[in-house]
Amino acid sequence: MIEFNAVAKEYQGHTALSNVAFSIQSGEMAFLTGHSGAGKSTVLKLAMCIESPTRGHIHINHHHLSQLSQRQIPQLRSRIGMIYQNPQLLHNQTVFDNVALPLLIHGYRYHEMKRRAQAALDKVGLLSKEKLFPSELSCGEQQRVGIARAVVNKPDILLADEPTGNLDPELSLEILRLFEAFHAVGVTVLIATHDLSMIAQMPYRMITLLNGRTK
Amino acid sequence: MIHTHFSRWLLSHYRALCFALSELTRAPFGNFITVCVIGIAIALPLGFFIVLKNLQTVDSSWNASAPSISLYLTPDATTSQVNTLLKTLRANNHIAEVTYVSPGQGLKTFEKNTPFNHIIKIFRRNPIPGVMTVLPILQDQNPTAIHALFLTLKQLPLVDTAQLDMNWVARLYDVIAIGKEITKALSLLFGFGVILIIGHTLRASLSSHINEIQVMRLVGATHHYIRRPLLYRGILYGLLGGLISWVLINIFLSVLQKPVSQLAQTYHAPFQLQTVSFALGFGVLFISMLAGLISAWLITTQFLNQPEQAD
Repeated sequence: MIEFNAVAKEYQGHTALSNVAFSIQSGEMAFLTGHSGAGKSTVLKLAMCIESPTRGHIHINHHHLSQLSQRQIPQLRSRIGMIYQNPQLLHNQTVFDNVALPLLIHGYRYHEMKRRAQAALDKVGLLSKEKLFPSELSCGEQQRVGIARAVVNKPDILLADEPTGNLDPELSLEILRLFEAFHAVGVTVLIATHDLSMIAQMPYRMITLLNGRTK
Repeated sequence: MIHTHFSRWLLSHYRALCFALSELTRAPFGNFITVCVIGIAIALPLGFFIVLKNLQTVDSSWNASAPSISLYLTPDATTSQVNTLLKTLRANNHIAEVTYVSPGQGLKTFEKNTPFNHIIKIFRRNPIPGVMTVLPILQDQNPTAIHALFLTLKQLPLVDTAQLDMNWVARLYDVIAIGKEITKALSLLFGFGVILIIGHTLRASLSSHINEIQVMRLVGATHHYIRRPLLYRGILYGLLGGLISWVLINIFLSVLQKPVSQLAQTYHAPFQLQTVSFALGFGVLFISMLAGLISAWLITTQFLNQPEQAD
């Protein structure tokens, strides 16, 4: 569950969000749209506790974010899978190591880590490339590695920031189908994108940001 | 549940240590230089300390640190006069001890210890005077009191010449006391230096891994998780630097042993330099590892308290 209540965010006098309010139920899939610079990334950063709102309240999985201590933030993040336009992979580590990173951080034993990471890679169709380095993969494949890493710890929520921004329409659709597959097994999915043509035919709710407000 | 928590904790420490070790071997040359710099920084105060310790053994083994007054008696002093004087001196409450070497004993010692005993035969009678060595009590072993005592003893009728022996060991003792203060200051200074060196190295390493750390934080890494391998690395730097300083000082001492032995030979006193004992060595290692830990803690805390930068 994701809930934004009259949220505003200002950066040194410049207003990024003036009044954002929306609610996404558990297991729901939704799109966050708006032109570039409308504040989509800011919304996701606030949800991940990378930044804190200037005003308003945010609830994630019934946690009031402004009441979280520094120690509780990693716990929250381990329940959220985040996907970026630039997939933020570690280029000195193999595909497998990249995907296993969240499991390594949470202290999984090697065989359990291997089983889960391979399952996640299998789901995105990259199991055969687990020993390669990210630089040896195409953009679409790198994005899928990012998705495998986001879902490897079986999060309740997936957040994606322009996940198809660098991809051609065919690959974009492939990625969206992946998100639908996770939604189908009960994961809450929120995808920020400005590509309205692609999502127009999809049966999901759209939350539109305009001048820092939700319409 | 407790078991799995504990084994996870152990596993994470094991992994952090492995990661720290792999980071050390990844850039062996750079890390070797860092460790050498740390080693040299520790070796300076440690070397000072060891040299002082050795000088102190000179002091205690030759046990002559207390200043004394030598009284050379007139040649015509009779045995009964000497005995009376001895009694008077021993009754004096400023005096701890009086030893008397009669002219006869003095002659024997002279004959035994020098190759010039035939010279004695030139004299018709024994030229060596009786000598009393007066050791003042502990409270009077300061320059003012001992000088006052010296002036009194000098006036005695039987005394031909009196000599105040503020001997070289006593002076050495003062030098050691100064040296100890210098060692303290050096240890503090270089200890601080070690913390800075390790901190600087870790900081550079952190900045080059800034993306990695950011990604780790975004997938839910705790501060402890990010900090742990760096703490281990700080400790490893301290350990290796400490070991290098230990080796350096022992090499330095073994080089020094030969000239010191030669010098000691001229004093007819064989002298074996003390090397860094195991207790001292492990003490140094403990302190240098602690410095590494403190340094890594300070740097990571400062780093992790900065605001996050996503993409």
